[in-house]
Amino acid sequence: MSQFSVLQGTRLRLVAPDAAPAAEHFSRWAHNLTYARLIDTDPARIWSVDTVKKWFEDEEKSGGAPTSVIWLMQKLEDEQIIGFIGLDGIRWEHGDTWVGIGIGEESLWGQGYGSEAMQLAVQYAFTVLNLQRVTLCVFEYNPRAIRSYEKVGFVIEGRERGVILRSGKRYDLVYMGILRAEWQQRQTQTQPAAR
Amino acid sequence: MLHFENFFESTDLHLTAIRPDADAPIESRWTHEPRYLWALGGNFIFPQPPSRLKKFYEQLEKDMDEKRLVHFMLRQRTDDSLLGFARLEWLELQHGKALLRLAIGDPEQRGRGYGAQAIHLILRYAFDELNLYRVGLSLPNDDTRAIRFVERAGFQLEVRQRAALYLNGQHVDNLRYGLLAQEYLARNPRPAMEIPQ
Repeated sequence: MSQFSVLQGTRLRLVAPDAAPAAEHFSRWAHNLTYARLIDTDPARIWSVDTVKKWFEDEEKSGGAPTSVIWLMQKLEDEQIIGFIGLDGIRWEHGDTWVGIGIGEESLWGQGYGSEAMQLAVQYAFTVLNLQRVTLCVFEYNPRAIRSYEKVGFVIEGRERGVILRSGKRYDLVYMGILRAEWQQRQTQTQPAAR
Repeated sequence: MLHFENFFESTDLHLTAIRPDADAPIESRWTHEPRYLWALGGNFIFPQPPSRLKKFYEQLEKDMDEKRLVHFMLRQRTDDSLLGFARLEWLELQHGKALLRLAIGDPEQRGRGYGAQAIHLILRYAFDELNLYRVGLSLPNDDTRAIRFVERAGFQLEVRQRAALYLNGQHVDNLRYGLLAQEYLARNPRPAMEIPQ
């Protein structure tokens, strides 16, 4: 396995972001209310380029917390930046981390890029960071994302009832998790010849 | 005179502000107990010296200003001695939700019903003052006493995060519980309010 392949798949690579170019993308994506409502429970906020840039720069200045990492998702074919994925709240003493993903380019939803990015991030968490568990939560009204995570091997572990109130309706927050042992087993099952 | 139920006070204890200079040395001792440190939150991993706790208290006040959380210290009514804390964090008023952290610091003061009084005070505050739809909390699977305590208060198990914690050499599930306002109020109706004619 080449030293570059752990963050590179068949159609995507994950890349460490520079503040200025990343800020342009994040601000543009934030103008899409559907995207905003899939990404975050915070009231949708149309981030200005400068605000996002400052956030990234503050992160860089602090040397980057040893408890989080964020990558941009880049298509191999044309080098287009299509979204982000990151690990956050890494608890080394428990071997556990959160993962969060967002594909900002709506025209690219439903084409498997999310699953591929998630597989790369999970692989990184288990084989480079030596964590033993990855956690995420996803909104009940995002079934496409739930299916995408299940493809990678995440299992639904429960739902917090009615956490999200949007447009007058309450929705559950679905919790999912994947353990290293079960992920490793899936790798040998799907690629027996690769070993 | 207008009379509300006073949910800052119970029989033995009351909710108060943080008193940084007095509280930090006491709470610092408590953080040397891993379970208390875990309950305290704040992403602490190691026991904290008083100076670091004072910075934590400043951050709590800032977060309160921005309505991200509400934090109370619990004190004995008799002599105002510090018993522990109760905090509603990850507060999202637009969704009506928060996560509860609550702990009695001194092991000698546990098992006296103070926790039960404290949880009812903070839940009244959550449902009657913040008008929350729900309160959630997290517990390790091996803390049977705490599990009994929250289930008695009416919390429902909602999520089991498998092997999320590594404690005492064992992988342990993290349990997430939730209590809806309607569930709490069905079992703990609000006292009638007196309004002057």
